[in-house]
Amino acid sequence: MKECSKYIDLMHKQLDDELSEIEEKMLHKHLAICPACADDYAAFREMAQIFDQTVIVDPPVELKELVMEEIMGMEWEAAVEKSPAIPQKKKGVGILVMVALLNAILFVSRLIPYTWVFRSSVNKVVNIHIFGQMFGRYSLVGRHIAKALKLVYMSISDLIPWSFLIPFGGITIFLALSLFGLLKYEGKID
Amino acid sequence: MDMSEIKLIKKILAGEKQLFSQVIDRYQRSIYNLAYRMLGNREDALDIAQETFLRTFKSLNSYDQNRPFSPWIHRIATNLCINQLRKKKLKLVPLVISDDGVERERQIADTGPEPAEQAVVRESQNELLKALVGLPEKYRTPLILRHIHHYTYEQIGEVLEIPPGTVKTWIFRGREILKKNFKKNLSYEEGESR
Repeated sequence: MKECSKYIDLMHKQLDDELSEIEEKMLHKHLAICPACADDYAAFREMAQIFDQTVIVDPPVELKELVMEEIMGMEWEAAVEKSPAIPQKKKGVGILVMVALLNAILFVSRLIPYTWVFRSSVNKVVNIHIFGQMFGRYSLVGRHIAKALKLVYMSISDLIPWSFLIPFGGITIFLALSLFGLLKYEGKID
Repeated sequence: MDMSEIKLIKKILAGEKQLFSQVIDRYQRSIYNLAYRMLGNREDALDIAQETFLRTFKSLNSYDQNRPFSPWIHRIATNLCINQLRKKKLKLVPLVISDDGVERERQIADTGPEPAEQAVVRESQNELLKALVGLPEKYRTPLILRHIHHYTYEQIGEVLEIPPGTVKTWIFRGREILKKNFKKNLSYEEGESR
């Protein structure tokens, strides 16, 4: 049921000890008539119970001893050497590589049908084909993007040979995707 | 960070290294338990807790005294744990239960009779463990901090360097996954007892 999501939210609130008395009454009233939510509730209660029963354990005494022993034996200057406070999470590298590969494959596969492009070094019109293929085939907005990109290209291409634009575009897309992948993975964006 | 902690850090930075033992006193329980829940065994927890304090000491210089200390040291610990998990692909710890003050862990295969009630609790503990093992790491950490360390969403956000709203989302998702796993187990048990 659609309105059940409201009660699921209340269950989460209860797990956070934030449920008001009125809300609790509402919830229980609903649970009495909705077996699906009652099941959810039972599962949540069981989960909460197990968390609550978790015992906080005492650290072994040697922990403090070991750390202090090492610290007291250190020269202060040597100790505060450039050791990063927050160790970098060794993640994102795999994703970067994957994104890079994917990007490379996509980019190259885009270009393959246009290999004749490489032979016509001054053909500025070709650009609309590439961008058009990328954005423009299916929508009006896409066609406008393609036109805009073509304009940008036309203006830069007098300064830079067009062949520079492909690796440049590739690198740009690669960096954007890599950054996105990394941020996503690091949890900076959800 | 309260005033006494700031003073303490300043003194340590001024060269009174022995005072670092007070930092250890304050945080060892929390850090060790966090590492223990994340990594699943005492040896690794001890290693990581030790490494956490050493790193904290070595980088006290770079600690921003205008910001709270607790999230900072917990962040060091969390990141070390995550690195360690990746390195060893460890399984998650059983959440230890005790009803007589004695810790129990991994006693699923324990022999000998035991009170039925205890067995039930242990069984469900085992189920949670199984569920937690299947939980993505990004949901696991906030759940442990929320439900075992009783951190608020804001505090978890400070530790993980993400907005409290994201913490909330992750915790909700994590709980939903756990709930589903629980329900599966419940229905399986019902089916079995028929």
